[in-house]
Amino acid sequence: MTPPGDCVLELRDLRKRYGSVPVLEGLNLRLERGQVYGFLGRNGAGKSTTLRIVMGITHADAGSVSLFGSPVAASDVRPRQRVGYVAQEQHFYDWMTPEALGKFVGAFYPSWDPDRYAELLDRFEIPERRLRTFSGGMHVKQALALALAHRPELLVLDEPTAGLDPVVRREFLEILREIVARGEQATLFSSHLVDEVELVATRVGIVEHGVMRYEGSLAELASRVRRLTLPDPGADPGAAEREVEAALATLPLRTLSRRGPPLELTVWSEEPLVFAALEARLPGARYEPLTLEEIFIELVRSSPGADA
Amino acid sequence: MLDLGAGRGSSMPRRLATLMRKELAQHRALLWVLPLALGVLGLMFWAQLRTHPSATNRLTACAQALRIFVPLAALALGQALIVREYQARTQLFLQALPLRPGEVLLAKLGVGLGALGGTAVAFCTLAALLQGEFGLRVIGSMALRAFGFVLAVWSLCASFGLLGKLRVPAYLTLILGVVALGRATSFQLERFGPFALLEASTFVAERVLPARALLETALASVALLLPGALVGLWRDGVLAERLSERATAREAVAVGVVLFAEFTAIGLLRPKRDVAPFQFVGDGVARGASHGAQVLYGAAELAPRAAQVASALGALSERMRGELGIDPPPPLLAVHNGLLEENRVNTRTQELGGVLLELNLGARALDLQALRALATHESLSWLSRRRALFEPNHWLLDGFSQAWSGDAPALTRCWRRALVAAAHVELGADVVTHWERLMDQAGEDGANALGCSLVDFVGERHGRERVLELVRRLLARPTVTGLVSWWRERHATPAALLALHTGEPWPDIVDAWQRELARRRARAQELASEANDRGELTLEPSAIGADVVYALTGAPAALDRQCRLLSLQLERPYDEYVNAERAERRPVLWPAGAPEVHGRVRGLYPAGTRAWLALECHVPALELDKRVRSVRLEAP
Repeated sequence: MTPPGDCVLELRDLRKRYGSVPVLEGLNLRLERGQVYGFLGRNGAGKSTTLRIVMGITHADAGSVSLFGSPVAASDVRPRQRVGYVAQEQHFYDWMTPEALGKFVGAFYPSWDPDRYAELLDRFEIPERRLRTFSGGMHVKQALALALAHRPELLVLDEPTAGLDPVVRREFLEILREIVARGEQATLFSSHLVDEVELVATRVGIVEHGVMRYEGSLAELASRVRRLTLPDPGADPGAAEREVEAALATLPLRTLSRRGPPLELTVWSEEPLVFAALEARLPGARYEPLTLEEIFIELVRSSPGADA
Repeated sequence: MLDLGAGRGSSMPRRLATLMRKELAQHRALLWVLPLALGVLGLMFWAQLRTHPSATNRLTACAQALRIFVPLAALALGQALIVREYQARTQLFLQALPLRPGEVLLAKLGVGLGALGGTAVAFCTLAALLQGEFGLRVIGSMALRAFGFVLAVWSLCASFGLLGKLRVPAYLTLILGVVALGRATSFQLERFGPFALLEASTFVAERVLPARALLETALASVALLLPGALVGLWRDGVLAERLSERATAREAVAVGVVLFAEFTAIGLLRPKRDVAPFQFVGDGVARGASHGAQVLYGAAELAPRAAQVASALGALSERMRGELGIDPPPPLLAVHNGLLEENRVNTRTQELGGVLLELNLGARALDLQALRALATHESLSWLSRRRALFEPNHWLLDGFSQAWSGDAPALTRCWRRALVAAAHVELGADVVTHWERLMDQAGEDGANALGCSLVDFVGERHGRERVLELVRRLLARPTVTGLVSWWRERHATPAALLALHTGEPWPDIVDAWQRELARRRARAQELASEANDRGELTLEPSAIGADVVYALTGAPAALDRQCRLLSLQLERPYDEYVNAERAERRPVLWPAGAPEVHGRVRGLYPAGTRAWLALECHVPALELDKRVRSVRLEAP
């Protein structure tokens, strides 16, 4: 078992192309034991590809993947026996029942616990009948039961709530929150829905065009972004603009977006204290924090190569 | 539910075992059906061989059944084990499990090979035991051959299953490739690797290990497996995933264009000119002067008779080369079969790239003339790609085979037989041209005799060289090889060519021949009684179906005559040639001194059915089964 605080998963400079289309262009990610990592990104940002590389389903063109402190070789199944995985879409054998499926999957994991599996099936209210009769939500819960039954040290979830209705989605997220709160495993789950990440994750990584745009805690992320709205410039709009440019030029700030009139800027700073200095320079502006969803949108829109 | 085995620990053998158990559980219905299907198929072939007059060892039914069963079963298993996995996308689920690349594929290959191979081996073993064959060597040989065939075919189907939407075009391309190879080179599929293992004549009989065939099978299996393995494993199986998707319209068009090009290319290929001659290997083979003449006899005491046959076939081979211009002559192969009746010869031409005759070398007497005639017939049929059997050519093939291969006594006998046969048929130019109808009336022996006398007559009338020219032109080579040659040859019949080269119209030749027959019959008084026999056949209604009523009339004989009634229910089309071997035979004794004999067979045919009926009487002096009457009737 990995000691607390140790690195469970580390991706370094991961690169992957599908034909001429680049999907990952130097992705870095680090996950430690006990952390719940929300991997956030738009559709096509590279989330699923990253997770498939972690699971060994796909191989990166360049870069390294370390699981539990050791580089992963394609032929070595032992690290993957310590990982539980819930795929974006479930493709179980629909002629199997949950019990048969558990027996089949359990044969590949040395630490498989049939009692725990039965307990999870009961907890998730999964009936003992052929999987072809299951709804989408039941399939996802079944996948989660399989992923947890062998007591993994790393739990990987690839957009597990995709395609679920709001009720089932909420139910699943509550189960997930309960499990990650109780468990000692590290959890990495991807989503394009910000509210899911806010509900469950303690750490977030935002990926866009195959590159990590931000990695850190939610609190840190919230503290690095501000929206400032300037008052009506009156007769001389140019003067206000010049004042803003002068203030921004002297401070370590990056403009994520600009709208108006009236002028509205979203700015980013690695150092939250800079905003105090900005307030001092532009006392007439209104400063407000952004929600995680707004920060996410601003970050991805401002990425190189983003759509206008 | 089959226990899928949640094992402690997860070594590779355990993982493979788990995967295989999953496959067995998932496809158990199909795996149960396979042995049943093979059993039924085997029974059908066995039943057919049981009644087939030329069948010898019933165990050859195993080879016949496997040739059909294994490819179909392999296709079905490939579809179930491999294609469906990708179509249902369950391979994505397997990819996410801690498995090594290739383990899933290996498990599927193992299950398929085990199921098919096990079924085939068990089938052969059971068939051998039921047939009373307990020799380990025989059973082992059959099992090894069957397994080898399964290995090659399963490798192909499993591999191509991974090609997804390209698998059907791949199959077609492979088939066309084999056809092209066969046409352009001396390659013969039936003599290659897995197919040679299942060759019917050696499947049971051959005692030596087929090392070459096994090696070819192993290499072919690896070569066939490679494309699929590459597709399945390369780039994390992404290629196999993409190929499992439905073909787009553009892809379908592209594939269609490629296949059309392949078909066109095949059509333009010129057929190969030479076929490598087949060789019997090992001990117990007698060879004639010509290398192509070989006799496989097996037991030492048959060596002298085998040498005699080989010498006769060798001499025949040399005559074909010299007089008919067939160079090289086709291989003339003979195999001893102790179960055959005396003077019975089976032909299995074209199975081994030449003429293959089965005969009983241990029989009391051996009719070398009949053997030469049959070998000539089969050789010309094989060389002309069976065009010699087309009706306008058929009389020339049958007649020339008898006349050319025989010596003077044989020719005399054929004339005497012809005199007797001619008394019971209506001859004429049209009748001779429609040879199968003449065979229907006169019987095969009678028709052969008539054809022999006609060829001899034409030779006497217009010169033997004219007849040889005709044979070289029409029978000793494939005259029709494509559309253009068919158009050119469609009017080149013996009748037309005779008229062209002799200046005598065909009807005039036939009339002159008939007059010759009448002249000779008038001088052969000892055959008059045979020529005057008459027969009548009718179908009369009765409460239980139509009765066959027969009557034979003629001059009373000094000895009992052995006659027989032949009957066969006809299926559509009702006017097809009847092979008398398939007819039911009922003995009819015509007592000595009796001017007639009558009989009735009750309720033989339901009303509305059609039947072919014939009366034959044996003429011991001519060794001829004279057909006195034949009719096709509808049961009232």
